Amino acid sequence: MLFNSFIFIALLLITLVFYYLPVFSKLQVPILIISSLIFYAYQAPYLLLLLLASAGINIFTSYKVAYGPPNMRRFYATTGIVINLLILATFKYSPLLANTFFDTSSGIGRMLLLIPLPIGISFYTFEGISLLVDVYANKHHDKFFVDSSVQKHFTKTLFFVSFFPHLIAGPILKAYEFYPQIKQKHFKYIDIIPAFKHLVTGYFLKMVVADNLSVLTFKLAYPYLKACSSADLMVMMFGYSFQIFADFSGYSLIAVGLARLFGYNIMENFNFPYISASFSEFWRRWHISLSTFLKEYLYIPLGGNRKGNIRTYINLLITMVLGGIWHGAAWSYGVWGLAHGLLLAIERFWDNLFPYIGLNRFIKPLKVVFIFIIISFLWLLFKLPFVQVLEYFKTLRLNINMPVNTNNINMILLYSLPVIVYHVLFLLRDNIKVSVWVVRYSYIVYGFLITMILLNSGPKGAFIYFQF
Amino acid sequence: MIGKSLIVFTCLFVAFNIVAHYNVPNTKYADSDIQTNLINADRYIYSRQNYKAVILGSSLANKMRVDMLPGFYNLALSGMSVYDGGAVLLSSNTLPETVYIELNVIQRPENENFTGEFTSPVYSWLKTTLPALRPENQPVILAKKAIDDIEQLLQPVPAHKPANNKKTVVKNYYLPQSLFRPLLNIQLKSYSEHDTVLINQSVIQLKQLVAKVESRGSKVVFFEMPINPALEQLPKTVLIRNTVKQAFPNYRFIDLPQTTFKTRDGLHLAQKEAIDYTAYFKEKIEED
Repeated sequence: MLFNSFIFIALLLITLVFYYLPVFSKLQVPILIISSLIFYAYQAPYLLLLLLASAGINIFTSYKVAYGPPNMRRFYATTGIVINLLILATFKYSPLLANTFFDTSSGIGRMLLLIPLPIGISFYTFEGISLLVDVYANKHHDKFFVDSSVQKHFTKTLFFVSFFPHLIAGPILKAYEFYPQIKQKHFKYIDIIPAFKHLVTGYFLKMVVADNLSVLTFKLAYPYLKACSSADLMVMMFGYSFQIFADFSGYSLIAVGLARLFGYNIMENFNFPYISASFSEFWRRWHISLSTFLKEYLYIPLGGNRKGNIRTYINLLITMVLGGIWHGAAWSYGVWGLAHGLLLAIERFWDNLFPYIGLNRFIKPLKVVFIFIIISFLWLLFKLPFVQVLEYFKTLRLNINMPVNTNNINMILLYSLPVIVYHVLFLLRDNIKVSVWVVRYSYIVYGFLITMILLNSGPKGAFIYFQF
Repeated sequence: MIGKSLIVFTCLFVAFNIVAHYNVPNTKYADSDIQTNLINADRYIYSRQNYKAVILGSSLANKMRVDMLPGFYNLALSGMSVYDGGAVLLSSNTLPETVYIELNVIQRPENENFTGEFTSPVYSWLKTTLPALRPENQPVILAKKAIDDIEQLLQPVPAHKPANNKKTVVKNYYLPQSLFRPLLNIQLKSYSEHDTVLINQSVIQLKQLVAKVESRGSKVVFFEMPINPALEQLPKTVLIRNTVKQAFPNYRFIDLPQTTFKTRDGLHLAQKEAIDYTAYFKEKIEED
């Protein structure tokens, strides 16, 4: 079910009414669970079984880690994590295995290709892993503990995994951040204005910016790119960079806004990533829930930066390659992760070598532009298979003298503009005049954004991150 | 703050509806094929004109020149299928006397995101009542049109308008061989493979569409658009042609002309060729 569909709006309104009706105040969590399961099952009901099975395994193993025999805690935690990873490998990476190692026209290869990809699997399996690690490590015992009542633990964990705002494309929740919030909510304490701002900005970024850019950048794909001029190809590549930001940050803002309507705070997933002056800063600002997950549950356990420079570089590469492959069952995602890992390692090496070179006000804007350009080129690996990326660069070199499609370029620039303004306003947040203006006239901006959502949306499309 | 935002929205929404009420739709300002298709479809649905005939099909038949076919409307949509145009046709109040269905790409499925725009009664009612909700009245399109109008106004008017006695010369634009070849090779590969199950399923869907169209009093005629001669006798083309002919034995088919036509990319007729094919098509329908 898409956040921008009529059926979702209807489900949301019905859920909100039941949720805040005083007569159902003790049933708020079950109401949200039922609503979330309907939301998930809407397009492919049979995939609900996998979600429930995954949740069931995490409920059982996490309970056993907390209350089972002490000498078996490690066993249950490891078993739970391995099962989560096996589920992910089976349902997500079977096409990759099939295409790499088998003949896909028959036999095992064909069978592997036919395994369905359950929507949101990468997100809910990671959340299961976070639960098991947090319970086992007991690092956050001041914030979070497993209920001794099996029924309560069952309800809370099913809710944690299935809560619909984050179920399909994150943000990836961490157990220790979410469980303490599970309690009865009252409408009068809900902060409506931030929820409204998140929802309007999120829907605008998705429906007006990303959906319109998606039809303007589709010619990046082979064979259409062959008939595009180099200038068109460059602008489309930057347009895709803005599109992927608008699409995913739009989704995340909607998710945060929806969760707030029900009284839950889930983490912000984006923090104006295109103002980053380094690759490490970019990863602190982009898909924050994934990068913090990878840092906490992979990079640090691997040794992080505690075991010398060489091990740090290797750890960065491992983390980023696995983070890349997490995105999808194609080697191009691995190459994308590897490229980011290499850039992070080189950047770290450079900073170690020349620690005295700081960022002055002349160098910083240049670095921001440089980082944006490199990151935009790397997004091509998200959009296209690896061979087509090579084709893109070849065509970029060959089609320099081809006529330029100025209308397409102008429209890409127009629909990219809101993303640029969004980032620039953030950069100017310390300017008092701008801040006063933004606060005083924000109602005009939000009124305009609602108008544009209703009147100028692009063709309805699924969120890019749904496939992950 | 929320209340004030909603007041601003209401004012803007009313203003856009007033402007949209007087706007004449024009696909020229669309940014993409999808937007062109949406405008094209809406223009058909909200037109007060009764069309004699409608063409359904893909981007192949989209190239046909309906200005040469009086009373025709072209609902062959770029990148889409006969079922998408069919959904638009069926959502309108009246159907034409004849519906011409292109058979080249019947295996392409319906785009539910697109047809959902026309099959929802609530949304259709809203678009009828509030013209600003129609794609041709999007603020960006209206702005582009306004800029165009201003530019034309600012252009100096010549003292003596030259007599327009020159005929418009239509030229064919072809891709360079370095681009054309790889595109044709992709099509040669695609048309050499065929999926009988898929084609049979598509024919079932086509039968359903034809039955719905006929139940509302229209006659159906099939036709095949010319493509690159190298593709016209390949397994996929032949399978589609024969399967449709077998499934609809008592229907009229406008077969491919004897002459060959040149395409831009292996599939789509070049501009002048499209005019020539439309002339052939016109000749065939006038034989009735």
